[in-house]
Amino acid sequence: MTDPLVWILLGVVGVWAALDGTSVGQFMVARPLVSGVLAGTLLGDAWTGLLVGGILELLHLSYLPAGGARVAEPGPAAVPGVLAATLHAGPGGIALGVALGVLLSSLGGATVALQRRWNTRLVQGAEDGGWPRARYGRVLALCLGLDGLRAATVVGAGLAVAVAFPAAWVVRWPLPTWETVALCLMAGFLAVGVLATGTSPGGRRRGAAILALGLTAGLAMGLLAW
Amino acid sequence: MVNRTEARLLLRSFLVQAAWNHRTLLGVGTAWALAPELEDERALARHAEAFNTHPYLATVALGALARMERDGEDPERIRKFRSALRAPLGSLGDALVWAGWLPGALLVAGISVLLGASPGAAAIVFLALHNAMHLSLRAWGVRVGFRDGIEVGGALARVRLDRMGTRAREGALLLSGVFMGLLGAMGAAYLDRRLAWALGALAILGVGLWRGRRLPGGSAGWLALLLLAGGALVVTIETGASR
Repeated sequence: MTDPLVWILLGVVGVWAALDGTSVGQFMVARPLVSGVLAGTLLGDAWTGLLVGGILELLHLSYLPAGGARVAEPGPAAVPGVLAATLHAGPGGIALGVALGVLLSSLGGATVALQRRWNTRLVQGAEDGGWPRARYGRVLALCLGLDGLRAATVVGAGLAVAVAFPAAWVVRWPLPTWETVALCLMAGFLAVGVLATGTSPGGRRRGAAILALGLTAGLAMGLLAW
Repeated sequence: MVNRTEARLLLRSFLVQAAWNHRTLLGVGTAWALAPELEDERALARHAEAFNTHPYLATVALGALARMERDGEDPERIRKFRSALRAPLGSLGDALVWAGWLPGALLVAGISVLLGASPGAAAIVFLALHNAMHLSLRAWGVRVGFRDGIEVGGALARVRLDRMGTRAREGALLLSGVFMGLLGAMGAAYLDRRLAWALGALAILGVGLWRGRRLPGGSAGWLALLLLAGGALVVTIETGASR
């Protein structure tokens, strides 16, 4: 893991995920499921990427980036999270990866709010009629550049923490892998519950009925599969 | 097929949120996206005024505004139309995309993993499913917007985006149930103390259903950290006691 190209590419994936979240495209590379798998593939362990990215995805499933809502930023956060889990193999690494991902996701959300305040200063006067045509493009590019710089700082800090975290602490993690993963997924049930109430168009009761139907079908499928 | 103006608006729509700010929201992005269609700099300034909508459906607004400017509509009429579009496009997009299709596509990818798909396949399934709708919606929006101009409301009503949003949200809900059921069955196969796990998961789901959006954003993430810390503490104490 000393190849500088891998570090650069991890940074690129993190910044790409951050820009994709709001500023450019919204193709949903910003989702931790995608950025996690990309980071894992770069690090030679796509399954760990999927595990950490997938857990972060489930934990953030109920986020609606509607309007100007302040949201967390789990996509870029998944990249350092996956690095941590890959560097510190085992259940302690998974716990560290998820914890780092959750904390960085929240930090990333706070920096997005800060950057929007900078943007507010940059666009001052745009609607007053004094701007030449070219200035709109220049300001847009400047806002994009700031967003990229912000994302690079957050992802870079996260990668540094993942590398610097003492391995001796990670190996002392007392829970086995299955229980570690299960606890994280169990917390994800909270996000699913929130999603169900927030998205149930026919009211809470109809939402609960649809959810129960799906739950029964899933249990039946799972019991047949395993 | 889209013409050159529509193609330009479509491409520029991908950056409509690049200067998102608390003063004009998408205003500057909207003005920049419309710039090649506007000859007068005063029109540019008008379009830089506060405007917000769902980014995927912003193409409806961009197409319609470009058509109105081309047809030489009265600026005040354009301003009123722009303001009237804001809320409906935003709420239609939020319901259809953020609350329905996006979580649905993610859950399909999650279910495919639980049923044996590889990490790469899961990511591709999600991106393909989501972007099939995303790109279709953007392209459709710019086409009907530019074709219908101020009459675009009729096209929006005809395709019943609200009904599509309802179906997408119900689909996502069903898929979230299937996903949790599969996780439950997997837990039953691989974990000890099954009853405790099942009760814990149901209790957490119940809190989510009960409190819903009144829970602060990010609650699930913080709960994960709390559960991990609690679980580690319990196992450490149990191990210490058994010695």
